[in-house]
Amino acid sequence: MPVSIFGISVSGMLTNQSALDTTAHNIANANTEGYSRQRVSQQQRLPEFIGGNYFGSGVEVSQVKRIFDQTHQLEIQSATANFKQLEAYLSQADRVDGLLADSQNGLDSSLQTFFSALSGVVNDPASIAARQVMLGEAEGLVSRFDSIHAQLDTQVTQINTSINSVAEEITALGNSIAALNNQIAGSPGNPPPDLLDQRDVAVQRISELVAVQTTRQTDGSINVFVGSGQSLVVGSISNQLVASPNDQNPREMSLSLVAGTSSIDITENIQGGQLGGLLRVTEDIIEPAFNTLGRVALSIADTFNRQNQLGMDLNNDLGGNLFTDINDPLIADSRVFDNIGNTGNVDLSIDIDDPSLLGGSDYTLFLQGGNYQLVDQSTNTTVATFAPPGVVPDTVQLSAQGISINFLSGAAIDGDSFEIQPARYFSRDFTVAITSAEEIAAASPIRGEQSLSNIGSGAISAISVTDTTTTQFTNVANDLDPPIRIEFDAPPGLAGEFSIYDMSSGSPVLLAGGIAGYVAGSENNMLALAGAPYDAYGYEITINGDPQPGDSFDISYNNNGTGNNENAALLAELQQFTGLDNGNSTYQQAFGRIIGRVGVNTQSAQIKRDAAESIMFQTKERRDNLSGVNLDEEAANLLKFQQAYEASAQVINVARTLFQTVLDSVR
Amino acid sequence: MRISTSQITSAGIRQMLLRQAEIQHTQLQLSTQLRVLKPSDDPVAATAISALTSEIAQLEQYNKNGDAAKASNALEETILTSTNDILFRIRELTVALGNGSYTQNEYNSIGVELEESLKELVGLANSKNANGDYLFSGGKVKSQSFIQDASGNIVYNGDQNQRLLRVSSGVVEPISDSGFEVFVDVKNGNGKFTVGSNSANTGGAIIDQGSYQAPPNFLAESYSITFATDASNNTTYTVTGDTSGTTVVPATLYEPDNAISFNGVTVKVTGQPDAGDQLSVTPSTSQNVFSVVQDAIDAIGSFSDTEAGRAEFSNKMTNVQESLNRHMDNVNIVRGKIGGRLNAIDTEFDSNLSQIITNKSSLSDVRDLDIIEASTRYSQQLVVLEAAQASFVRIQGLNLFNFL
Repeated sequence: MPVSIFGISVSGMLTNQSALDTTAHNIANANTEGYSRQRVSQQQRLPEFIGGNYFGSGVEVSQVKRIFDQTHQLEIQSATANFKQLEAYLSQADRVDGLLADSQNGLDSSLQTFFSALSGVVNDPASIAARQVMLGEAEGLVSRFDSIHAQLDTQVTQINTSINSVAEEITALGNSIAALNNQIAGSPGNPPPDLLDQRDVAVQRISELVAVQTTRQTDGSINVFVGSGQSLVVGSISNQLVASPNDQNPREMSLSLVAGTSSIDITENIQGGQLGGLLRVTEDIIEPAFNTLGRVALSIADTFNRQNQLGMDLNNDLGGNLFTDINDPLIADSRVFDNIGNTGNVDLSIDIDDPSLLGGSDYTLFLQGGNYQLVDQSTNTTVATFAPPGVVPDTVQLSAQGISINFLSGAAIDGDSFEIQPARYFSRDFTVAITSAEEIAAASPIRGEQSLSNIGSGAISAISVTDTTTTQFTNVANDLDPPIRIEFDAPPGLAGEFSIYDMSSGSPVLLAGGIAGYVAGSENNMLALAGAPYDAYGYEITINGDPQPGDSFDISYNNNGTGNNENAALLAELQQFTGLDNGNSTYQQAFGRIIGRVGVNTQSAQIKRDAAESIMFQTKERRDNLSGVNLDEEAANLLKFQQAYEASAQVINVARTLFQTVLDSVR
Repeated sequence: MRISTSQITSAGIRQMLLRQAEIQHTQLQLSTQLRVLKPSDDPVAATAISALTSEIAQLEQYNKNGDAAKASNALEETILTSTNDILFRIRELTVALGNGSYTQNEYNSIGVELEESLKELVGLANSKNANGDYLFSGGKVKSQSFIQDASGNIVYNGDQNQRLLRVSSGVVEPISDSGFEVFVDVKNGNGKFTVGSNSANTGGAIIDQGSYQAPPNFLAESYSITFATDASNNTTYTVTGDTSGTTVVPATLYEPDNAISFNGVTVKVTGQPDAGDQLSVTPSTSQNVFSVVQDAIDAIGSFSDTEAGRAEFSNKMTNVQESLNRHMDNVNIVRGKIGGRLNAIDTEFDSNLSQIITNKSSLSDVRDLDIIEASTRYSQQLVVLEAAQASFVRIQGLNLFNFL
């Protein structure tokens, strides 16, 4: 008996034992993430040629292999990257969505209560109590802006921290992939299935953080690329992904791949995963929310300040700023960031000339080839090109953008660049500028009175104040310089003509006479009819009706006109004023638009996230269908291999009996 | 198809989590009674909700303004009603004064009553509102509306400002009238001119309030009617323009009760003037109601019981009565305006209210939850979740190892 029955049955026992081991390994790893079930491939040993015949010589293990399909793995990588991007996006968008829409904490209700309080002042301009309520509500409005800004700011800080830790995690995972590559490439024989699984899990984990592409090398290692083909892992070498504040805008994060001493900025190329979602949500939702909030605050501050300056307060003084001056030098300065790499020493600041023209874009300004270029970051187009001013300080007005660039000192050097954020921070800088309720300028600073002796039906139908910075208002405190009288000429002057007198001393002094153009029964803008310099006094007097020769109208400073509510009424009308979005939106509408925009973005992210989740789930199902452990199947295998093992053991028993028979026969 | 054991678990858990999320959403909807919880639930509706909410708040604000405007106007109306009552009494007294048969004592006692009425009238004109602001001072609400000047005349101390309040998107209503408009800006006499007699007159010529016919619309100057005796000892009159010195009517024979007409003015003179007596026709100016009453009191004070004195007193009373009538008309015009404002405010209030109701119902349509639909959905979702849970437990229990 040339072929050993013992040898054959031992091979059967050993082979089935290893199959049992593998089954046990499968059962043990039934819940291990990314585990692919393993199978022992059995094959016959080489037969022996004896006496013209081949005799089988038993069984051996040819390979322990994992049941695995590379396409499933690639599908899972891309589906995971997509899902995680949308999930990270959605969870941040959801926060903004809730923040802006909250009926208790949103901006809408604060604006409404502020305007209600203002109506109280219109109704009773002399009441300190009503003014105090309005001042309190103004504080409330300002703090609402501030707290929304602060919450968005916290969110940005958290996002930046997350970006940082995600980048570190990607680097760490890259390292472990490189280490696994090393082990896999260096292992003799068939690649170890468990290491392959571990590496696939690491790649899948990276995909959760950022979208990657992988290529398989002949030695079994894989290369991992991020962005548009920048290598994170090549064989056993891994590079670092580093997050750092942007050179141009320190509030934004830049991501660069660092290999030794070289570093490549790949922020623009980052796609997918948590990292992609965090970068995208900042750009899509959070920055626009900052800018819209800032624009609304700018518009409120600008319009209220302008109108309040046209009125007179309870102390008989001309009104000042109700809210922060939008072009306060410190604030104007904070709208510009110098790039870290700048070599020039130019000092810039930005004034807002017209908040209605602000489109919510940030700009990049850079000096190239001797000219400054202004690039709108949202459209990435050059919107203005101009030469540097010859002497500083100087101001370059960009009327289409509604801003002016102040060149305060120094000069830039070719290649210098600047980040310009006109509205980004104003919701934080926005405060109430007055401290006492008396300073609300509810009254018109101009009083117009018809003379007692008038016999005609002429009456002052409107007084409007257009500019209180003229010398007529500023020369003498709490008075007009000069107070004037408009008198219709009596014969010998021509009836229908009128004269303007200076009334600053007791007796009238003629300033201009024989002014024609009055049309009875229609609105006559008297100072415009009088022409220069009277049409530049900073106020307009409209007289209607049929005045008679000798009739006169006195225009004076509205001292003690505390019950006059004309300017407060104009302040209240600002609620309907469409001073935003190129003159198309009121404050509330402009804010409503950002609510709508965030809502749409959040909703579409929600829908996409749900779709991506189910795609990811399906790809995992497909993988698990093939590679996952089924315990019932393993139980059956267990029985199968156990039986085979027992049978081989039984064969040894039979062989022993055979030998015993032979031995017994010779005894 | 082959499936793995972990798949059975994860698919089961996933389905249960999805169902739980749905139930939680429905539960939140039910507890808030709102369909749209966040803008992302329905961005189109969210925009509409924001617009409708601020529209409603705006309209409610207009109605608050309307309430305030109504209160101010109603307060003014009450005061003007009392004013009118007093003016009515004063006019009765001046009519009584016109009764030529009263004695000096009777005139004096009427004078005392007139003085009391005048004080009462000034008191009303200086009324304050609940905040202590003067009602009739125009914009100068902290200044007393009418004060006595150095020469004892009651003069207006406010300005001519009128406060306006917006009561709807298209309508602004006044909430005050200045004292100038209510008590001052009324032309005296018959509105075109006043009449009078020279205090040096010795005759008994009495002039009536006269009338005026345009054109021109206004008297160019004041005129004097001077009486003389001609060669045949007849009384004649001449009318001369005071400013221009032009003789408007040359010497004309005077006949009592005949109309004297010139430049649109028609007056009737009765009684017998002496030569040299003068009557005057003066263009009206604004005279405040207090000064009109004061004129009557002054006339009583300077009354002398002679033919000329009675004639002069009568001429003065003519002016006073005419002016008073015009002031009463003016107060009534202001009251009419207030009535009109109150009506307009009511109309706007109702219109705002119906807009609020419409908007609220639109708001409810886009925002509010259909409770019946939601609770049905809720119970369905519960049933589905329970089924998922039960089946999950059953499937988990199936395992070949149980049989080994």
